[in-house]
This record gives sequence, C-alpha cells and structure tokens, in this order.
Amino acid sequence: MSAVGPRLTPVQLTLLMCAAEALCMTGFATYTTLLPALQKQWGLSNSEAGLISGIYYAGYVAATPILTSLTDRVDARKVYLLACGLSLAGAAGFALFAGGLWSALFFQFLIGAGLGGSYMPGLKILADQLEGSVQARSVGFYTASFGIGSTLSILVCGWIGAAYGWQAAFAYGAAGPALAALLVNLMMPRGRTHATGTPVPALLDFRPVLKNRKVLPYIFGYSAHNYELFGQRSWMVAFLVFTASLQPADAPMLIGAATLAAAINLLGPVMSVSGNELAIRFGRTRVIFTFMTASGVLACVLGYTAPLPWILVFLVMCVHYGLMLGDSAALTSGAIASATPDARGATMAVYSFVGFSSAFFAPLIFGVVLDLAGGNRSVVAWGLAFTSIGIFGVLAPLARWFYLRRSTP
Amino acid sequence: MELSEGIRKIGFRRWYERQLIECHLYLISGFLCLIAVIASLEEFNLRTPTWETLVRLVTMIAGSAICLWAVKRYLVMLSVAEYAAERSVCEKCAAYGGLDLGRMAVRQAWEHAEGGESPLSPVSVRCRKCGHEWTIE
Repeated sequence: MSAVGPRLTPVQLTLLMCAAEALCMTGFATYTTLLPALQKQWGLSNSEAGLISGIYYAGYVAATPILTSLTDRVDARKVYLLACGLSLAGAAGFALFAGGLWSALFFQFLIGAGLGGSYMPGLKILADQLEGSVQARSVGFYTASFGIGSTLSILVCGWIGAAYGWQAAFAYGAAGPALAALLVNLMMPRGRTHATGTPVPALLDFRPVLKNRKVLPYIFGYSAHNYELFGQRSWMVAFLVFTASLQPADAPMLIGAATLAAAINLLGPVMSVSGNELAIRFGRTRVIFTFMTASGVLACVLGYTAPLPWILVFLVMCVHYGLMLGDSAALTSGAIASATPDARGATMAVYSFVGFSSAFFAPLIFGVVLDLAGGNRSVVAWGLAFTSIGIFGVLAPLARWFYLRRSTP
Repeated sequence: MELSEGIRKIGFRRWYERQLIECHLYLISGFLCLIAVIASLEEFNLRTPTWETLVRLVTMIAGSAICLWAVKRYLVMLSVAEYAAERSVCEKCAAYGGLDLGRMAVRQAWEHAEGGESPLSPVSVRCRKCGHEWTIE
C-alpha cells in the first residue's frame, strides 16, 4: 500500500514536515535564551526562573499522551493544528500579557503543551504517508529537524531579543507555529485513523502498546538514550567551564564553553541522520546497540578527561555526542515500524512519554551524583556523574543478549 | 466514580476512559509539585534563615507530600482501571467492554464498599452481545 499523496513525493513530504517542525519550535528556547533579561526585569529569584523553565516540561508531559494518542482517532492534522494553536497562544500571550511569575508560568505551560502536541503527531502525519526504508529515512530527517529547530530558536530569539526586546522574540515564537499549522493543514494529505468497523480503544489506553513485544525494546532504548543525552546536554557547559579552570595559565581555553557546547550540539542532526542510514544498511538492532554501548563506555571515562588539554576534551565530547545521537533516529524509526498501524499514535505517545520522563530525571541525578561525590571542583565527581548517565549504555550488550535470547524461537 | 455506578451511568468504556484521564491529571499534579519542590530546593539555605527560607521549607514539605499523594493515587487508580479492563472481555463471545450491570451488582457493590476490603468493589456484569454474566472482582 502506498498512501503517498497525489501531489507530493516522499522527499517533498519529508521536507515539508521538517520545515513545519522547525517552524513549530520557534518559541522552544525563547524563554531560556532571554532568561537573564527577564530575570532582571521581573526581579525573579533563581528558583522562580527555574520554575518557569520546568513548567514547560509539565506542559509537554501533560499534552503528549493525550494529543498523540488522539491521532489514532482523528486526523493528525487537526491535532497538529490544535497543538500549534496552543504554542501560538502561549508565545503570543507571553509577548502581550506576561508581566511576572504567574503569567509566565501559564504561558510557558501552553508553549510546552504545544510542542508536546506537535512533535510526535507531526511524525505520525509523515509516517502515515510512507512505508519501508523510505519511512525510516524520513523519520531520521524529521527527528534531526528537532535539533535544527532548537538551535534556530536559540539563535534567532537571541538576535531578536537583543535587537528589539523580549516581546518581539516571543512574537517570533508565535509566528512559527501559525505558519507550521497552515503548511501542514493545507499541504499534507489526511492522516491515517482507526479502521472503521473495529472498536476504538479508550484514550490513554496503552495496553495494546505495552503488549506489543516488538515495540518495547525501542521504548526502553529511547528511554536510556534520552537519559544519557539530556544528562550530558544539561551539564555540558558546566563541565567545559570546569575543564577551562584546569588549563595551565600559558595554554588557556581559547573558545568559550557555551560556544564549544553549541558546536558540539551541531553534530546532533548530522549523526542522527547518519546513524539512521547505517541502521538501514546494516540492520537496526545491531547499529542501535553498537552506538549505545560505545557512547555509554565513553561517557564512563569522559568526566576523568577534564584535566587534559581542552582541545582533546572537546574532541572526546564531540565523539561521545556523535555516538550518543547515532541511535536516536534509528530508535524512533524502529518504534514506528514495529507499531501496529491502528495503534501508531498510542505507541508514539508511550514512546515519547517514557523517553521524556527519563530525560527529566537525568540532569537531576547527574547533579546529585556530582554533589555526593565531591562537588563540581572534583575530577572524580565529574567522572562518577558522567558514569551515572553512561551506565545504561554499558549495560546495552546485556540487554541485547536478552533481546536476542527472547527473539530466538 | 465506582465501577458499578460508572457502568450504569455512562457505560464501561467511558468509565474506563475517564479513569485514565483522571489518572493522567493526578500524574501531572504530582509532576507540577515535583517541579515546585526542585525549584524551592535550589538556593535553600538554613544557615541564613529568613521568611523566604520558611516559605521554601513549607513549599518543599507540602509539595513533597502532595506529590507523593498524587503519584500514589495515580498508581492505585491506574491499577484498578487496568484490572477492570482486563476482566471486561466476555469469555463466551470475546466482546470487549460492552457491559451492563448484572442483577446482583448493586447489592454486591454496597456490601463490599462498606467492608472497605478492596479499591475495586466486585461488580456483576452482563455482556450486551451474548448475555453471558460474570463478576469483575
């Protein structure tokens, strides 16, 4: 069955959804980018500022299971439109009405909910139109567009905020989702919904997903992947700052920690797409477990490299980040390919929800380990903290052994 | 809403769906409280007590308590809903969720609720398709 629309080729469909995803994310990093200015203007304490950052994820986790599983019942384009509406309302509301903690909390929640309701439903819109290796490849590009969207959001919001003020940056954040909703609803073909004649499962009834033994390894894998990724991302700059402090006076770190972290981040989309291509060529399971093990092992030694010359530390971090992202798109395309078509939305809801949950806890656990092991001035503490995020990767061969044992009849 | 009342008023499928949505709201509440606790924990310092330290302490204690309560409630409600859903497939015709209350349901439900033995009162149900009766307990 090829459900590709009459007018658009798979390449056009993929490009369209990638562009829509990047547009949908214009408001993704507006608050965090403009945080210093807003904190000063509103007199926010660090806790209040952190609370506004955190509520974004609450919005995401609130919306993702409901809106993503809803795509099994109604056309995913309508869900996408609703989510873009939430993002638009959040960002526009922030620009026009936010004046302190409570209003900012409310609007950030809406922006987070908007992203939660557009990322996975957008992926479903795309996946519903394609199949086989074309689907797997398009999923790779779509997931990579998340990294591009977040980077663009940081850069453009920073520029606009510096030139025209924070309200203008949020207005830009509101414009993107409006354009994305138009693009998707006018140009994408209708999404697949539950087959008529069969009973529609209850909203949030994830039993069929949890009973699907093909999907579960991908959900666990994505969870482990996100745990390592978000733990590393959150502490990357702090680790580079620590590395800079250990450099000898005659050979200081020549580039700022934030710039180096941004450069490392740029590897994400490239490695995500490349890893997915390798998965198509050499087999998904093998590639996923190889990347996962390699990145886990490297994470376990990464923290101890801090006293080495900064360029070497930077290179090790690049390799680690690349290995970490190598399995990202392959995991997502695997989950989609393994899902039963009628439960694809529910599958992606569980996949995203479980993956996000581990992403939320990873930076916290990293911080706790760092503190308990001696604080951020201790090389051993950094070593152990990085080990705490690499541990699941190190255990990947064991997981693979179980996986293969179970798959063998 | 009790299972028997749910089946009587809105039908099993809707009852189940509402339970799941309610569960999700509890989970979100727990998550929001967790964020509040984490935010209060940041910069918390007992060495320099001020009114702000007190507010942070109260937020942390209250937030943790509500978070634990909400998560516990989420887990209990979810397990009850899943338990009932697993037992709502007719053994004879394999139809899922098309249930009416059986004759003994109301009396059984009351008796069990008064005993306070289980979060899920046993409910006698009848399949709408084939009329087969069984008890979800």
